[in-house]
Amino acid sequence: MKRELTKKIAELAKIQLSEEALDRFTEKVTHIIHYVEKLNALDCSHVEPTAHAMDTNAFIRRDEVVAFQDTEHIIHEAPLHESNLFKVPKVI
Amino acid sequence: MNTIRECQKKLESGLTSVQLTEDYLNRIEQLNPKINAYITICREEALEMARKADLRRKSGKALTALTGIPIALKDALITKGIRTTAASKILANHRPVYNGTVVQKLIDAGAVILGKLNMDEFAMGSSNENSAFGPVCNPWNINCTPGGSSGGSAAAVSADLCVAALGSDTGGSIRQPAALTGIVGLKPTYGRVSRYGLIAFASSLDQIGPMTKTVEDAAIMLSHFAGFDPKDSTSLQEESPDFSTFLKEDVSALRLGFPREYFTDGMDSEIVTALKAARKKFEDLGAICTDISLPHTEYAVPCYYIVAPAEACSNLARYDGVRYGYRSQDAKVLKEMYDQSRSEAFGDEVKLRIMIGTYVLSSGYYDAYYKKAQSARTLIKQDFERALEEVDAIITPTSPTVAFRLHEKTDDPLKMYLSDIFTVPANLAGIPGISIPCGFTKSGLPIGMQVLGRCLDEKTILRVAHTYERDAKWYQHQPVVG
Repeated sequence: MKRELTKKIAELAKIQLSEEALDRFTEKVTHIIHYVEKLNALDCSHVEPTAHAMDTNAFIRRDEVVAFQDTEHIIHEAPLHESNLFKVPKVI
Repeated sequence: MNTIRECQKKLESGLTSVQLTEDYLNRIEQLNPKINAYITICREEALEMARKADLRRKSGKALTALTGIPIALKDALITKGIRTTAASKILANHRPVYNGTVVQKLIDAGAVILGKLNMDEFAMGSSNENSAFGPVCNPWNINCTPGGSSGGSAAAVSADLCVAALGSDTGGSIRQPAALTGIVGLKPTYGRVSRYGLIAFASSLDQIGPMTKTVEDAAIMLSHFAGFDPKDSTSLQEESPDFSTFLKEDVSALRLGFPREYFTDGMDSEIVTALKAARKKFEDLGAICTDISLPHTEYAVPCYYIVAPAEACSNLARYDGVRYGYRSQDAKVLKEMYDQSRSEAFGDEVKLRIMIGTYVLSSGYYDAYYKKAQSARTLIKQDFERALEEVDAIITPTSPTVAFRLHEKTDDPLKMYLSDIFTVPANLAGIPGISIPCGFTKSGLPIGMQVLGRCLDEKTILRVAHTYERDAKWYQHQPVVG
């Protein structure tokens, strides 16, 4: 994997990497991707993909509002809040 | 030995839960500095739960097998008001506002929670060396790892710093550390146990399970927390029996399969010898042992290391510094806050897996990697379905090695990933698996054997494991933590 691609992937993943870390991660990711390409030996052209191991029907429930009582505790866990709003730096 | 059953007898005979809990808290204070199994010790909360358990017993209210029993929880399990960190700096001071379903069930059963156990960060690891709270040491040899990611849970049970523990298993994180520390670890069928309140790593693979000193204890624990949960959309709508009732049957005429692909060249010869001896023991106990094939075994690890990171990068996107957890203080704009918070607080292994996941899901690579891995998953699952038509359970080594030295594999992620080679297939297929001790090396390190079964057939794997355990009696060996 090239360094530029690692940088792009890190940006998509919202992870900042120093120049040294970029080199280190490029090497590690390349090594692992090279290993997982072992799957290329498999012919999966007629194989349905499995997203979940168990065949199961989704549990359906009525779309009813259920009151939630613990808003205050949730808000207080936030790094910064103002009344019941999470406060963050400006977008731009 | 302080199993759940033995502790129950002591409580019925007059020992109080407060006394039992204090004994454990004192033992933790003495030994945890050597092992580092616990991240958070809940002294006051535990004693309060113990007092309530004693009152419940005294007032004649209905008791369960877990009433008054001191247990501990992997720190990936959400506990209301008690710090839950996932062994990450990003949640270092996080206090959840609710209990997960499994935690609540154990509290309702009257169990006493001693504390939260160390783990690899966000369950990503096989040695408990990826924790922001320091590595865990193996009670059998403190220069060795206990395995991971439920390394703290395994070490705590092995060193008797709790009667039993909960772990979670995504690619072997209950079974592999159980094998490396000489205890029992069970990964249930996917969907058997609610994931609501388990900090998510890979949602199609994660399962909570018991880590105990005996198979009977694992059956007792599972009985108390398995079952359908409407809060978990992947939870199976299946009856959840008392699994301990299935332990009465032995292995007579049961068909046990030994897959060729799990006994490869280059394996630790002491592990091969131990499994051969176990096979002979099963035959002596009346089982019919046969060789089988799981031909796609070699593709399980590459498949897993596409699927799991892909799901993880999505699950860990929530750690952005907005609503909870660590927030970087220097950010001027929102995007900087996301990038810096995550970069400053995630460990390297977590960042690596997020990046692998992001790459395999990204435009232009999705079909070649993620979709391909999902198809490989189908083939692996079909291998088990076919094999488990011929046999009732499958016996394998749990790990290709015994406990390895601290720092032995930390420089090469791939070397570490291959620790999971015998455990990840069960997660990909969704089937249940249990690891039990089956011997020791000449240097005194435990060897683990894995029993795999059909989906929702925990009763058969428990029956097989229990029969072997009672005959071989490896549980009588316990480490002396020096």
